[in-house]
Amino acid sequence: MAAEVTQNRPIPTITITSRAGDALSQLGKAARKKPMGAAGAVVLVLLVLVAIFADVVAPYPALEHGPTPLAGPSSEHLAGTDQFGRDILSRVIYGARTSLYVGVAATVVSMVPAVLLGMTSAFFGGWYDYLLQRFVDTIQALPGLILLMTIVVILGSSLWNVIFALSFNRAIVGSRVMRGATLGVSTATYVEAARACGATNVRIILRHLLPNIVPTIIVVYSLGFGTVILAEASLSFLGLGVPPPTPSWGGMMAADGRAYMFAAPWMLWAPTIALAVVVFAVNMFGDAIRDLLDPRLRGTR
Amino acid sequence: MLRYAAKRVVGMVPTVLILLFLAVIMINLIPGDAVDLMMEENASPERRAALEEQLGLGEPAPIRYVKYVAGMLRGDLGDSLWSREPVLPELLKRVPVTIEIALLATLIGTAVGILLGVISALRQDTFIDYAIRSVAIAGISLPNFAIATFVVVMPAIWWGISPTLRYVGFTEDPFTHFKIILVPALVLSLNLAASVMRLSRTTMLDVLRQDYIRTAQAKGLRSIQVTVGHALKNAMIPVITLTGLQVAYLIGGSVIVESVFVIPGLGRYLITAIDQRDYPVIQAIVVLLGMFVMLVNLLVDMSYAWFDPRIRMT
Repeated sequence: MAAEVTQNRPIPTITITSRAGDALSQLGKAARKKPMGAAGAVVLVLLVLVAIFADVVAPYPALEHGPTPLAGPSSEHLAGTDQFGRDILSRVIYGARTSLYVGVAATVVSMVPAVLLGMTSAFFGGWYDYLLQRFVDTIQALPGLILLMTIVVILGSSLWNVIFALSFNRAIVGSRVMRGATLGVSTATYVEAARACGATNVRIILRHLLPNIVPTIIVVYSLGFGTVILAEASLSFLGLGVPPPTPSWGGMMAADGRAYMFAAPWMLWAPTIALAVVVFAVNMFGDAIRDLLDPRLRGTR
Repeated sequence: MLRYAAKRVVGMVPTVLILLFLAVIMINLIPGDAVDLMMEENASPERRAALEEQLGLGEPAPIRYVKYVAGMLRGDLGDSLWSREPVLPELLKRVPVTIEIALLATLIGTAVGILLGVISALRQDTFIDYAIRSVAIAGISLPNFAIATFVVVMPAIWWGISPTLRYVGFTEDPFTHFKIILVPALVLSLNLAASVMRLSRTTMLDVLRQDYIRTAQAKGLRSIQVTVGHALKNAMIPVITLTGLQVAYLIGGSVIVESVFVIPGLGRYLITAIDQRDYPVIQAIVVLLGMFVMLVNLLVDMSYAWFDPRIRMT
């Protein structure tokens, strides 16, 4: 038994400080250690602000048709206009709202089933574990994008169906990681001790196992956020994402951008740059979080 | 080895059965009346009845399931609702193109990724290392449909050249065919190359610090021999795992990239099928691709033994 315990790699602890000053100084320390991660965090905060205050920040309404269609970048329209004369910069700003909405919703919706399925699968084992994992195998064998396309086609194209499809995929993929993390901690002596004290299964799962996989949850979902945003853009690019006229970066690069791409290439520039910068920021931030919280997960995406 | 393979193939059976089950009940999951959704306005009652029969909606799901599996064993994956042609021959024409692009991208991506990763590890914390790592992070952050679009659009705008968008089959002219799929494969390989680079850098750094590497250096082997002969093979297992996991992702990516480069692979077929709600086609594609990915994963697992003889296949 002792050998097994030493095999368990140390589980990082999150110190919760009561004083705000302490928390701030810890944040500062983390930022100095991971400058790129901090830069990523700043970009993400900006994204959230832009999305929330889109009405204030955007120079034009996202859906209003203007008198100058397909105009190049100018002082009036910094990123040019599209075929309906809509201001591209404004649409990119409102598009941030779509990306963020889908990203946050899919992350939140997928987290509970992923943690629940992963933990119970690892904890109870047996037939339940076997069947559930074969189901996860099946879903993972399908190319993610094709699974998403199929779900959206079956349910119909709408904002919430896109979110549901993304959440389903993330929940299944995530549950495998949660199962692994739970298996890693469930052999620890404190679990055995708790069971010896007569703790119920529910209590062991919630009080003893869950807190120990929190770092894994944070890491998986901070890196997964970028995947979700990219997947939504890919779906919209193929015309299966958030239905128009709601501005979405992927959609702007497809339905709007591609038909006019040779005559009006600026229609592609702004959404592409926005998408790349945000995904880049999420990756940097997620990498930093992973290194700080759970170095074991290095190399996973 | 053979016994291991046989065991794994048997182990795949439940997964394949679940896959088929999902494909079959797919139609039941459509909210509302699937037939209504598919029918053109003022369609005749006969057409409606034919469609219902073809979808097998009159029968309970378990019976349809058995029928589907039996049909599949005979090589029958159903007929397209629109062309009324069997799906399988059409699929077999298109699937190879998609898989060809995905595999070519896998080859390019792993080769480039490993090479850059090794260079980066050997020159840790130099300018080269930083340059390669920065490019790799950018490579992970750019969606491949954006790269594909720019590869098509920008040369045309800047230099007035556009890539050939007329597809040529392999049997028509292998050289031109290769030239045409090379660009999409290159675009598709970028993401993979970037993640392979990052991972092989990490694992190489890990391996290079181990004692047997120092021994190899001490006995006077040339550094290329140490790197390739001793270090590389041991650093490869996580990289192989990553590549295997990415194959499914690459096939999905191929669907997107094909649609940008107007290549008649699975991508355009699937997108058309989706536009027309041609469920048997979608079902067949899901089943075929799922099984292909499972096969790739099996091969990946078996390749571990070659890279590390200590891993026993039991």
